[in-house]
Amino acid sequence: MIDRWAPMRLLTDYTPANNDVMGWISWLKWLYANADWAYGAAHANGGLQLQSWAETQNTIEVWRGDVKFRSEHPTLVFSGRQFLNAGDGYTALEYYGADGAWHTIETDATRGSLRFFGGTTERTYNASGWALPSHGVLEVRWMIYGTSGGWAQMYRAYMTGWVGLTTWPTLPTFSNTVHPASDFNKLVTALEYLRECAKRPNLGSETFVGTHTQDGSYEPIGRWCWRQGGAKRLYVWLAVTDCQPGEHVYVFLEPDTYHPDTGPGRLNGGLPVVDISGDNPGQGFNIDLTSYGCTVGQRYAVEVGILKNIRLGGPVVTVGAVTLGDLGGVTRTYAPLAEYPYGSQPDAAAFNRLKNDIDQMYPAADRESPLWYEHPLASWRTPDTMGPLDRFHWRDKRYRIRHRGRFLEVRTRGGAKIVSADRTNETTIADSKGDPLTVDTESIPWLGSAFGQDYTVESYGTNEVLVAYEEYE
Amino acid sequence: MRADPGNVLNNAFAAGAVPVGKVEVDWARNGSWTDISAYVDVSEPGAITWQCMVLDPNQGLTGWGQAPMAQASVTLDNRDNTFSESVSGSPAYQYGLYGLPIRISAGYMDGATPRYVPVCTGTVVDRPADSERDRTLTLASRSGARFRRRKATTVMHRGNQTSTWIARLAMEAGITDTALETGLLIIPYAHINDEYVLDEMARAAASEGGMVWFDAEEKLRFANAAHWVARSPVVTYTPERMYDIQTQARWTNLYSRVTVTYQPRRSERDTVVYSVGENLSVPPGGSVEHVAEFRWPLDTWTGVEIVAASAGGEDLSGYISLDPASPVGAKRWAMTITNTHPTQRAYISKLDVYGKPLSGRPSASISRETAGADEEREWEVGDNWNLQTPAQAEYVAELLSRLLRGSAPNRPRPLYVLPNVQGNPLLEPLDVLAVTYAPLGLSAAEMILLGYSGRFGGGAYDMDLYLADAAGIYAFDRAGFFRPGVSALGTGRMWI
Repeated sequence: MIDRWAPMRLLTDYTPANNDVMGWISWLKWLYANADWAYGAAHANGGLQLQSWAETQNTIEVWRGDVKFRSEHPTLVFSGRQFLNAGDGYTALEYYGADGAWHTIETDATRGSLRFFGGTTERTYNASGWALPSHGVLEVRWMIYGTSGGWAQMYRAYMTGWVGLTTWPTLPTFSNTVHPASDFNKLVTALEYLRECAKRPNLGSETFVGTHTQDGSYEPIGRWCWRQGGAKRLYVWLAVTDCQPGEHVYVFLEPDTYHPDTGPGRLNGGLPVVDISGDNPGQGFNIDLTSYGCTVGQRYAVEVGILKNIRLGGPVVTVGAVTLGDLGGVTRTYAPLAEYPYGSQPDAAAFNRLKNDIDQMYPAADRESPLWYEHPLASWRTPDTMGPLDRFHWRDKRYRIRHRGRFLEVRTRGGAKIVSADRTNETTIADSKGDPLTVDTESIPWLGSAFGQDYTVESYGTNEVLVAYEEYE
Repeated sequence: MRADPGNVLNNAFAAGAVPVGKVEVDWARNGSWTDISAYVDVSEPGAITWQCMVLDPNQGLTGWGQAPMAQASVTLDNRDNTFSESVSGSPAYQYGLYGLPIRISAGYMDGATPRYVPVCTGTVVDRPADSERDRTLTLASRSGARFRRRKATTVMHRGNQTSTWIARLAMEAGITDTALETGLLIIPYAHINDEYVLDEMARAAASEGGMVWFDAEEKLRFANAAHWVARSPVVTYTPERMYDIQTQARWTNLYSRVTVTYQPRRSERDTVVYSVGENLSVPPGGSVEHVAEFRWPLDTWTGVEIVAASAGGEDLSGYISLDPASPVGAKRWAMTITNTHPTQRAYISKLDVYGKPLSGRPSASISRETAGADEEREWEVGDNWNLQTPAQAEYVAELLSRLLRGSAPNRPRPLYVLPNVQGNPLLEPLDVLAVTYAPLGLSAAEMILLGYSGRFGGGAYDMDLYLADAAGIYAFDRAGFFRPGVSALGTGRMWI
């Protein structure tokens, strides 16, 4: 998040001894400024969490993710679905400990049936007692073990909880009468709460070139998930080559726990929201999520997939961007209408408007612009074999990040490159040997203050980026 | 204005009122006052003088925020050597004169009862000119002087209101008697590093255009810039003759623009802020003193890493302890390093202190036109560590632009002196007075009392009052500004 938060103080009821007054430059102006800041954070343009899946006959890593552990949000939430073959297979959710070993969080050895991991849509774990490495990054992975194999798909993974942080106040209704200082202070408290909500990582969407070789069928090549908030535009950039008649590249919207057999089913009556039926040199698609019934608070995924004929080869899709943003006519019902400089007389309507504006950012499904405080884990890139494109291989994987945090957290093997979205600037970063590495973006002249601009973190040659996301501190 | 013990205000404007004065000292520095008025030759005009200003008249209105210390002077009869430090048996011999608490009070007879009001309390700082064995002795005192040389070191204090930080500094300096108005702004990061507390208080006050000073009872006071909101004139003066009011048009108060520079601070990630430069050597079972001065001030301290070994390479790290165990300063750590090993001297090759340092971000400035001068004259406010936010800079710029504005361009805000008015010990700096003097077009004109000088002796008690014309500082009725808990929404006006 861009660090422009203005300090605010709490008022006290006036006495001749304390001489407290409410001023514009000295107080009210910064509440408006911080409300604007919080609104921007609630409508953050940003990357989505990659949902990965895998199928094996023995052992495979289905998904891995990183998040900087913070004691204020100690609860890990995980969701995935699995089908294990009969035999000895089981899934295991694990975290990497300070002792350099993987520790089991939970296992599920139920075989022969399609089910959620652990038997419920979501599993929650208290991570506050886990001994983590000194760098403070919680690394979690989901494995299929054994020799009988199966299939698994990760749906969501994030940290939540609210420990030791500000309590949301009961906001008053203002009238043109005398109010105690405590009423005005609730606006300050609510804004501090929202600031704490905004302290979360900034993910980059994983983009790539992909295809599949499953003749005569549709196969997804990528899924990305999010929790619906105030940002109601999904932007997907795709380029397609070698798309022959009868072949399609589809984009679907679906609940994040979508499954074709058990449901929940896709949005839009199961029809794609984007249908590319021929070669396309590159096109951005702005998808109005409200027109497909996406509701605030619910979790969704966007799926890109290919319908391929029976033939050698097939359509090759370049996913260039998958981001959330605002629609052109975004609504901010209680956006500030006026300033209240020295000598002005703001009335109850002005304060109620400010109060309502702040209230609409409280993280709840019935708000216009909820500032979700969950910390999604940044999914590791699934292995990029650099080999021929087929069903299980991708190429040119990159993390595309909308720059707004100072610190870039990466893991690399050999090294990686940071490249501006227009490809005119690039900086090489070091080999972290798979360990977390922090890059202060202020040390990169072309990137440091370029907030709001996209850049990618990508592999080059035999050097590989494993994960990349931004942190605010 | 201060509380009236009985008809003092009436007598201050009454012809024929009988003034009274009193001088007391606290020989034992234990709060027990001894009346030494008998040693004051009150037949002499100006036997007792004092001055209390919150603004140095020589510096003009641009000195806002930096109050000089109140001072007093008392001439005493020393024929019995009471005030002779070299004469055995005298209180001065027993207790000394330097730093002697001294309190001057003035007032009027209220019928048969003398009513005293303290006008200057301080400590003796000088004994100019006179030999202590002379017949008379003059003592000079200053308010707050006992705290003048007090230094302090603190850890970083975050997000304090100005008044909270001043209160903290007062505690560090041992100042227990305070009356602080609410600080209207926040100082994001505040600390003091072995510096004079009073200087840091002045900087803190100046960062929001407020004022710190010691009042007549040596109480530490802080007034915010909205001090005069809802305050009415406490007295009205009606000079009769031209000698009774002097105007001072200080062209040094003429400016066309005020520019305030601030420098934001930012807390960085953990880094090593101090590494020991050379091997420290601690004897077996012994201790050494060491001061670690950090490269950057610490927002938060994270830890310390110590490596110690004997001359033969035995790891003695576990035998090393530090006291205090964590830094008490944001920029320094004075520690006692102890080696508890009974036989081996410990050589400390590594003592790394790490934490989140504070970095300074690029400075920025905010300007306001004052319309005070036709020509380009800029008053620059800066070089104040506590100016860290655009809010502070904008506020101070707006405030000073109003203060430095006169009735028209090239006409500075009028300053006045009312010389030789009958003494009124109830007046305090920053009181609002009303002045009526038709030849100058003043009709109940509101003035801010910047300070006063007082004289007692020769049967008289009078004062010079230093005033600043308040006209035009506020564009609105002062009582109408928004006071939380008092003003109604829709009616109360926004302060700056």
